[in-house]
Amino acid sequence: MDLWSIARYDLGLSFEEFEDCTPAMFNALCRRKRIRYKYERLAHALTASAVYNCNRASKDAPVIQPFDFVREVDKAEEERLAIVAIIRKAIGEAAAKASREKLLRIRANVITSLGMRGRTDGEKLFDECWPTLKPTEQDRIEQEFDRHA
Amino acid sequence: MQNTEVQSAVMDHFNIVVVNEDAAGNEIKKTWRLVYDYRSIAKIEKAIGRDIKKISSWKDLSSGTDFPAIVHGGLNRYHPDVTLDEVLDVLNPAAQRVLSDEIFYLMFPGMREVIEKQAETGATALPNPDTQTGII
Repeated sequence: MDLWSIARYDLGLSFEEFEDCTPAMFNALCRRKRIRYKYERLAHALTASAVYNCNRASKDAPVIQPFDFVREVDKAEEERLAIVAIIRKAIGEAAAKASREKLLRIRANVITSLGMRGRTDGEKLFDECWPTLKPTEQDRIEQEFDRHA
Repeated sequence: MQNTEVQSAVMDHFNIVVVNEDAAGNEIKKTWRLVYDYRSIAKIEKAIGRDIKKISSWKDLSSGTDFPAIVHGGLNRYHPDVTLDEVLDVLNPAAQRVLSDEIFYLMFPGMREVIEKQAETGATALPNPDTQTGII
């Protein structure tokens, strides 16, 4: 039913034309549809960027390119951004006056959780988001002390 | 007329050469052209009662009942007169694996490249290949 609705609504095929399609032909049509969608998106982006650029608040305001509207994020980058959002949320949800020790504990928990999901770059990502929470030598000594205490 | 020629070039299919003998021992060769369009897929799904557009359905297909129906369904466009019994007569276990692979690759375009890439490098060409045919 999903395939039929795509064939009918998005591709404009009749029922007979859809029935005559093989999966490879159907995929080829979907690929072509995606290309057309990208062209249309760029056409709208041209208009949007022109309107924006003509109405900038000041001369210093940045000029927007049409491609700024249509730039796509690949899957890996999308996942990275999702993780960055999780990291920001984890620290953002901590109390405003939370101690550094508590924030470091949250940091360790998030990195462990990411590690369990197969992300080995949790520490690096965390440091990019919150460079001030990168453990110092003093933090490490205190952590070591707590572990033995 | 030109339209028909273009269609035959676009249509993905494969041929099976069936070799039989008559009562006098003379070899009879015939070629079956198999095409899996959505009409034949619907016919197969009705016959075997499962959604063959999903990869998971291919894991436990019965070679005795489901597979002959799949081959028979592929004959729907160019050889509608061939019966299921005739298909059962020519199928044999040795050919089944090759045939099954070819049909699978027709059903899931792009999957051959993914599997070959995986065999070469141990990684997938596409991290998450479509598991359903023809999703936009």
